[in-house]
Amino acid sequence: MLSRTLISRLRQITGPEGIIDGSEDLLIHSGDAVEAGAHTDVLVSPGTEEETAAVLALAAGEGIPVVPRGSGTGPSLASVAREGEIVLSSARMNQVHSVSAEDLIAVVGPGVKLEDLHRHALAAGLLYPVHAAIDRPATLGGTIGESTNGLRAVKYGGTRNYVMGMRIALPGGEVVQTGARTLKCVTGYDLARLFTGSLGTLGVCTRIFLKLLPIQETNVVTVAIFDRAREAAEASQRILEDGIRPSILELMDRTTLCAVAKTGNAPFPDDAGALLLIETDGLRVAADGQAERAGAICHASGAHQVRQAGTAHAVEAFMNARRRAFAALAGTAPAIVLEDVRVPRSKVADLVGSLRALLEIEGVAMAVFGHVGEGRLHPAIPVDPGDSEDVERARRIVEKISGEVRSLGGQLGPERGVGLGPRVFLERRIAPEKMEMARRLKETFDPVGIMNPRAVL
Amino acid sequence: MTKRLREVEQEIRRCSRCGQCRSVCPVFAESLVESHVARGKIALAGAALDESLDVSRTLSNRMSLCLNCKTCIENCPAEVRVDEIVLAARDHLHEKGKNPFLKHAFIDNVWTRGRVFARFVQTASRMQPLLFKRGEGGGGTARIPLAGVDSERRIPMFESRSLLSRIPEVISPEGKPRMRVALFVGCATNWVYPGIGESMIRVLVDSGVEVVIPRGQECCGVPMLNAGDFDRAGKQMEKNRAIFAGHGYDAVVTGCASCGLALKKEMEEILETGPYLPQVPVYDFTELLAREIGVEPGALDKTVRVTYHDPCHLNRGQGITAEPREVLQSIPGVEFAEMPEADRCCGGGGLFSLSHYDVALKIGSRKAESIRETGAHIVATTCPACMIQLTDAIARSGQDVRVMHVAELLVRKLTSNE
Ligand SMILES: Cc1cc2nc3c(=O)[nH]c(=O)nc-3n(C[C@H](O)[C@H](O)[C@H](O)COP(=O)(O)OP(=O)(O)OC[C@H]3O[C@@H](n4cnc5c(N)ncnc54)[C@H](O)[C@@H]3O)c2cc1C
Ligand code: SF4
Ligand code: SF4
Repeated sequence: MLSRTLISRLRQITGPEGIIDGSEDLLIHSGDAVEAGAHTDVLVSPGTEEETAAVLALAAGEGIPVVPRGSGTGPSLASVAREGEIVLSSARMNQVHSVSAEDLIAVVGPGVKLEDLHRHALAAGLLYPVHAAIDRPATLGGTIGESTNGLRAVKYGGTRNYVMGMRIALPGGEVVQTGARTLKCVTGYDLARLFTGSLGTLGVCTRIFLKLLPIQETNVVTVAIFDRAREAAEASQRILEDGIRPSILELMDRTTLCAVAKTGNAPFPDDAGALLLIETDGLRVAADGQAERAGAICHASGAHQVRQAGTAHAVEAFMNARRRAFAALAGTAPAIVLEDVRVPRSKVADLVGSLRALLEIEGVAMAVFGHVGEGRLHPAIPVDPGDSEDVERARRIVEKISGEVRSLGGQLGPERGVGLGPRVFLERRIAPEKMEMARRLKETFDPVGIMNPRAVL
Repeated sequence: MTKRLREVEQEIRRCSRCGQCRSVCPVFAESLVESHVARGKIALAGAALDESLDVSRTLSNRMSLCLNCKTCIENCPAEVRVDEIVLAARDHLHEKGKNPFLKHAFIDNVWTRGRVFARFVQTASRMQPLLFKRGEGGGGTARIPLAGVDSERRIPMFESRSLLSRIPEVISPEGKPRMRVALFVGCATNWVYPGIGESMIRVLVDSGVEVVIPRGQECCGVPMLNAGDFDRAGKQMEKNRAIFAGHGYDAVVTGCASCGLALKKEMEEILETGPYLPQVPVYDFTELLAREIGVEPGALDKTVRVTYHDPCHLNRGQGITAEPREVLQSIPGVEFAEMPEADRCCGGGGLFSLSHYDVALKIGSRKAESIRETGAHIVATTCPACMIQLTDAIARSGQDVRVMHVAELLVRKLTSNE
């Protein structure tokens, strides 16, 4: 437990508005989208970079762990804190410092939400193309911590491709700037990208420089309905092989669609076996032409309905259905194990096929959805944590998935779950020699080892 | 453990903690403290349920920091019924004696006792002019420093004669009525804005509708429900049921969004006691006009720019957004201007602004700025509770904008200085 003296020293740094230390308020601030978290003792929300650095210096001096936090929507248990730790929130560093149409650059505080950056960029005729399925509340700091890819990564890549530089407060209280405000920065190591995906284990970013793109003339959303998920996955492969560059290429299988339908308006037929969500963008002629070709490929691959979302309202209905997928599934069972599976794009239909087969053998209502265009899918397995047989079965399924994925030349990302409490299936999915390198790197930045010590990369 | 809290356990578990509600909750937007947002309140309700957290006054305060605006539900991917969870938690806290004492004492001893309440308001209406001076645009501000009352705040001024005591029980049109409707008045219309009731009656009667205003009707019960006092809320419902059962009518109409929601579904859903007023349909006033009756309003004396505020309980509660706009736009002389975020909560939230005036004020000032952007001279709405809040927010923002109910605008001849 942290001492009252320490908390009052923190209060001196940030002022009372930057401190939360009541147990009722700390409850939710200690967890993320997966785990409720144990009660921490204090949440500090610095208003400036200097305050952030001062908090880190104090924590390092006392050897107290610090857990950086954005909106706490991450599913990696990486903003979950325990007793005796300081939660360091970016909530008050939420200023959009500048959006420059000339330089195609945005400079933002880490607490700025993705939705706010999207709005500011749009107002300047610009695009920040990282759109996570959770793009409303996630903060830029959090998307850097998680290296968020999002729905448009199939064409635009993820956060990593847009981070040009940042200012970082290091555990000792020092502040460094890495990268630059110019489009090419070729000197030295690319520390900004190293920080991207570091889950707050190296330091705290206090200001972020992001690359923006000119806005596209138009976006066309096409939806194809199939009987079987495998056909949809095959269609997605053919679309890419054909040279089409969709900006979104997402799959939802029948179980996912049913869950989504249960939570409100479903813009697809009741008996849909799988849905492929395709967005093409660019100049009007190009976007329309590609949408038409993609539609024809879907037809040829067995889609029995292909249609374009003609109005902004219809587009939103489909996007919303996709964004709801995870939360809708989470509502169908006491707990969900959500896997993050990546295979080469050319193997994604095989992956879907073997997942379906597994589902039939085990007789479990596993759902499959995700970024099929990137070869990245989320199998979601419902479990009842109170039923040991059920948990055992889920474990068995995960192992089988892991085997299938490896045989297809792919890998399993960190597993996520909802409602499970501590992760039951946690295993290190990174090779030991890589772990050792990561450890040494971390030591360089964080010799005392206070930064997010329980985060698993 | 309180039964109702246990009943929402499944709903609590349905929250996937995704955090989407963070980007829409008006209370959270002001405080950035996560226990003020749906995800946080649900976690607290869960902790109260498994008894991992003490039932404290702070817990009660966090649960009270909800406007029941339902914005989170509308934006939640799983449509988790945050309203049911928060109300069940308030019920739990009420049973444990942790809810604000004064509020409950008032509910128990005054508000739920028709005659006592009437006498209270009559006395208040006589006292108020001594303590508050009427302000331009409605409401009153304190004449002398009063404990707990912000000196700039526009307080609703009670009328000395309630609507129910001013009008006969049945008002008939000339000739054979095309329809007979019962008017559910609601507290704010009865005591603060009787003009809304009179306007509704006039519009209806002029359209050939016979209006019954059942005597003895009382508060719909929503304030009690929101305070976590489900028993009192249920009793209000029973009293009104009995009063309304004594009359024959084709439909019930109300000009209050929150009463309307209570009558249509909220009470039934939360108390699980069957429909509030069985057998006949319940309409919002603008819904009845637009869908069933249709009016051809007389022209205003001159053109005036009007904007519209969507009450949460009409829009998200009842799904009604087009009808009030349709009615407003049908008035010759109304130049309609949509405000940005017309459906954003005004911050009133019934009794919310009594206990959390500072938060209500901040939320209200955003609404006032949205109204300013339209350049409107009138902001119309369909909820007297919103009108109380809007009047205060607008007066504080220094604007010269009138707050009116759509019904009032329908019968209004504008004076030359508007
Ligand atoms: C429903 C749902 C759908 C999602 N869909 C996608 C998707 O389609 N694609 C995808 O890639 N991801 C997806 N995600 C995950 C998403 O990337 C994260 O939720 C999000 O980026 C986290 O943002 P946050 O502000 O909530 O960060 P948090 O959860 O608070 O933090 C995330 C990590 O970043 C660290 N961190 C936060 N701020 C800082 C800072 N200032 N400096 C250093 N470290 C910091 C934290 O310590 C933590 O390790 C989804 C999540 C959910 C719940
Ligand atoms: S949006 Fe719904 S599911 Fe998500 S955290 Fe809020 S209440 Fe829970
Ligand atoms: S009902 Fe409104 S105030 Fe209450 S938690 Fe939901 S969004 Fe916030």
